Amino acid sequence: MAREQLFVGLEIGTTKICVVVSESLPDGSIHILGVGETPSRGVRKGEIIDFSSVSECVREAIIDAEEKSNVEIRSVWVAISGAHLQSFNNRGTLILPEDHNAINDEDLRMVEMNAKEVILPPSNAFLHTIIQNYHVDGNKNVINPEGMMGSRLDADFHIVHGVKTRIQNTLRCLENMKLDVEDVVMNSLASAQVVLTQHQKDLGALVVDIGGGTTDFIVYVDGAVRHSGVLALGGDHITNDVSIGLRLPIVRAELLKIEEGCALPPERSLGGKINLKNDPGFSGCEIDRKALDTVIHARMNEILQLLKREVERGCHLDLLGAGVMLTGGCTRLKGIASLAKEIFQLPVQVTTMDNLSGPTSTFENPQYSTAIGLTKYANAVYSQIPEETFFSKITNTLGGLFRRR
Amino acid sequence: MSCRIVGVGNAGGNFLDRLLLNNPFFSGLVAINNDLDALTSSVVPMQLALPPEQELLTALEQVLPQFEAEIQEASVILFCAGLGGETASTLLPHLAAAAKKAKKLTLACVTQPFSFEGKRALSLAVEAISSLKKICDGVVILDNNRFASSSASKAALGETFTASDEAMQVFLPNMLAMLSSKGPVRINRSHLLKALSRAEEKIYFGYGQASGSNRLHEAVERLFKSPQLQGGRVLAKCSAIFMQLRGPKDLSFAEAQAAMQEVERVVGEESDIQLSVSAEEPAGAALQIFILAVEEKAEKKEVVPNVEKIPASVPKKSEPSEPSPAAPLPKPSVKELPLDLPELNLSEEILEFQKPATAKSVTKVKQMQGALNFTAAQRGRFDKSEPTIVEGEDLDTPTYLRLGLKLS
Repeated sequence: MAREQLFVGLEIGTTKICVVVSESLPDGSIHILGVGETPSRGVRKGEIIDFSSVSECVREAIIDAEEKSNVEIRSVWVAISGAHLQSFNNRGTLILPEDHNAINDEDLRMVEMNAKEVILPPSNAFLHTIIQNYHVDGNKNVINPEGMMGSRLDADFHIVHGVKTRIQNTLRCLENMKLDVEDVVMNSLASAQVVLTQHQKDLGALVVDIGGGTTDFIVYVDGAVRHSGVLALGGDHITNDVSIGLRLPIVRAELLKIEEGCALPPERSLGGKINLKNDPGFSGCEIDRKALDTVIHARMNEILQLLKREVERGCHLDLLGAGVMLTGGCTRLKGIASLAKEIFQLPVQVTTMDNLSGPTSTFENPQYSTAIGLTKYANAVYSQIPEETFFSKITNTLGGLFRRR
Repeated sequence: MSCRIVGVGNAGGNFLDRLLLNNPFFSGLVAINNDLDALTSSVVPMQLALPPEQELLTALEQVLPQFEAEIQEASVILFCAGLGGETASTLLPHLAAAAKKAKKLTLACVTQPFSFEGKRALSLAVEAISSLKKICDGVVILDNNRFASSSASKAALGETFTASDEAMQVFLPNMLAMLSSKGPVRINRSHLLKALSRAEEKIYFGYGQASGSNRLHEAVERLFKSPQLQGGRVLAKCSAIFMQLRGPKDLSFAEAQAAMQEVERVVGEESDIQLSVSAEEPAGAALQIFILAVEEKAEKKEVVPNVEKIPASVPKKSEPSEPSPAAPLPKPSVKELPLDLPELNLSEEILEFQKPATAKSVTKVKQMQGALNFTAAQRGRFDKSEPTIVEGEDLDTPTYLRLGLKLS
């Protein structure tokens, strides 16, 4: 296997920092070589708040991944999250001269540039410009206009932008470790690479990645990204609520959430008491299960209701034929799929990752979907770009990945 | 309501210049100075020049009729000056007296000199402030040393002066806006004036502005970081708080409510908060919060027993028990008795007096219990992180608490 076909995905999450080393197989699938992981410190709601702590954690995770995969890591693909990420759809238009022969690569770049001619807040920068559809002389939904004749080229793009300095903080953290950053990818976009098939994207699907500090989502309609965003709410909020409501230390509240937590309404609670054993610094106690379920359900219900409202701003739920795919660490919470189904009134499933090989414990765990998705994203980018021009063309052709096939 | 802002001396003129440069449409500015060079370079259209060769008060007498004519149409006169120099410290009390004599609402916002400016400058400033407090309806004092202490130790001198100037730039227009607020929710002007005139000790102010989705909380955060508010702590001891919220038309009810809640968290229980809301700023303008807080001088009531009026039922013990050495008790004086003291209250006080003597039993100072801030407990681990605000609601606060759900 050539060295260039190894990909490293790095996710700096609120709960954990995860590094996945994988290699691409000839059939287009991904083989995971190793996963490095360390609990995260210095990250809140998906954003870095303590630079040195995060740097230290990333270093530990990288070393862990190097040891497990027996690969020396020099460059990474990084996932980014945070409520500062925003998105919108915009159309670029290019009037082609009469003597123009056929639409070429340069025209596609020009139309993309036109679509990006919008006024962002001064502190923000573009993160992704993802093609949705081309229109040639009013002919809608052209998948690839290259080589076609036409006098007017329109292109719809999904544009993601975020606060420049917050994105740079992530990059600086890696620069200090002499790691090259191949690209920065929005969390949900990376997750969607592994949890959705092309067929599901064509049918229309919502991917929800509920992590510790954020809930990232992306909506695909007709095979293209229609809407995306980040809510600064996640599993940490559930833990915090449990800690305050049941008067437990954060660590015990987190454990209780993982072991006994349920997102279903308290009316459907099993009832009874949960016995918490003594720990150093914590004298055991009995917890009322219904109280625990009340706290968790209230928060989870709120997150999903907010998410529903946010998704509805971008597209109608009826367009999501494939339903809702839940991923991220928080989806291990019992009853979350049922609750989401009640709220969205759509088929909901906690996703599994297909087309992967390697340690099953890795790809069966929704916690790793973003980091694994990054490597799949990298593989897809890499496979579409000739090797010699990889670095120069990478940003210009990213959009092609998300085109309808 | 028409206002005049009068800048006295070099610093006062500078304040007005900066104000005018920041907002060229500001009208009603008057600069008074005996430094003709400074006046020549000033952009303030209305200038009253005092002949530099004459004594200050003699020169003032010459321009006073002109000054009185200038303020005749106005109902509020707002003086601004940097005290410590001869000109402002001498002229300001006289000008304020003239304005007051003309029955104008007279307010002053002055800066106290930096400590390095010397004792003489400080004594001049203290003397002027003392006079102004007697004359004006309200005096706001900006202590330059506070700006110096809040700047980095290696900060340039100019930076520290700029901080002082900026505070003045915030105060002047916001104070005027508060006095002439036209929004749907207004501050009762008579309450404001009454509070200002009652203030014997201190008036504080703070300002914050922000744009974006989390503008309210960012603005409140900046407000509390204002040099005078000391993180909002001084609000706890203020009896009257006037808050002005200004923003574009999309300023929401939830934001006004959240602003009030944020401020209520830090103020004392007995504080009277009055809010003015105006959504008349142009679209895209930042949300602005301005607070003016008045700290009333705590009244010390000397309560001493009236031996002659002790009711029969109360044992006649004119000699109090031995005061504790830690809190020596002043010997009660019968001569100092307030004659109109109600009898019932007096006997209660005597009963208290018979208890083991403490300073508390004799000197009754209005005590204010600090408000316990529940915010930190409610937000738990998110206490120090950027809040997640959706439609004015802080989603870091547990959902079950916001929904009022009871946990069995």
